[in-house]
Amino acid sequence: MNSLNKFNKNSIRLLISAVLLLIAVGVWSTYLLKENIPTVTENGRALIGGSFNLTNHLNKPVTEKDFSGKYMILYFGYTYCPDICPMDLQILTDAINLLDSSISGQITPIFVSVDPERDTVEIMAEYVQYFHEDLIGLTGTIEQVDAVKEEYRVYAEKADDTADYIVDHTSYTYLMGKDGKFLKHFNHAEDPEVMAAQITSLIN
Amino acid sequence: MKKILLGVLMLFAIQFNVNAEEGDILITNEWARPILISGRPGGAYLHIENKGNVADKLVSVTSTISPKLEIHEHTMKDGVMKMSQVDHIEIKAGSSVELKPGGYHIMIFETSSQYKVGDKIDLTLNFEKSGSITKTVNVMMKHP
Repeated sequence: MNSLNKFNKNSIRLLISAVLLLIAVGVWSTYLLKENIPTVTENGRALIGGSFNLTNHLNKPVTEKDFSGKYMILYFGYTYCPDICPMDLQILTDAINLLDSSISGQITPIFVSVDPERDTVEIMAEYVQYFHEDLIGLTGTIEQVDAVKEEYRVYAEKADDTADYIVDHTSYTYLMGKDGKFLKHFNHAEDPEVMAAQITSLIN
Repeated sequence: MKKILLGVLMLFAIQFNVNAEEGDILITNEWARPILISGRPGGAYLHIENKGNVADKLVSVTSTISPKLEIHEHTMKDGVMKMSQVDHIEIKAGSSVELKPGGYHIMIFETSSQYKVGDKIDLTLNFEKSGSITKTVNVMMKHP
């Protein structure tokens, strides 16, 4: 009797342990599966991108609709920027040149100025020609640029009040889908080959 | 007369001393970005190696193309790039410092010419102990 009790207690303990283990594995695997879902991208879709009214470097007013039907790859910076912006625009240029023409033909590279006071249409026209031949320069009024900065969650503020002020700014490159929705961002100083490979995998 | 001679000798000794240490600092991989828009500042980059036994400091940079050159650094905080001027760059004995895009770099303001890709500019690097080293720097869009 005593031994039977002991046996029962042991098997109940075993059963409880097994059930707990099953629950633990169940919860754990749910988390694992969830991690495969690109939650960051999902969040980003809701947060980054939107409509804008700007002027391109050919002095033509444009909105996001002018770019729909093609992928957009956007970099936000300013032409006075001595180091970071030319570096990331060169990386963007190199990455696009590394792409198969069937893919690069589907992408519009865009440089958006966060310094509309100094970056006039003429300055943008002069500047973009040093990078990719397809690169579109966009600038606008202070209000228009503030609006697009907000849509793309870009931070950019003057660092000082001098005439040759520097602008502190986030340095991300955004890949947007044909519908204008966010697909992926690239960090400052990304390797052009990595960027090209990731663009290819997302567009193919 | 003796004093003057001694003075001359001392000057010579100091000069000799500077020259001797100059070889301890090795500058390589120097390049500069073009001035894309007239009046805008340019950046220059290089690698400094201190082969000597004492630490040295890059205290200033001068050039015939500009009256105003500064040493700057970039710092990234929460994804935001901030650029600020630094007083000097220390190169510890037996170590090296890389001036590169996104890090330490030389800023060239108020240039007398809008130099382009393929041009060459001169940079004189002034070190606290090792004196001045002048380099001819190639202008290019990116480091090869």
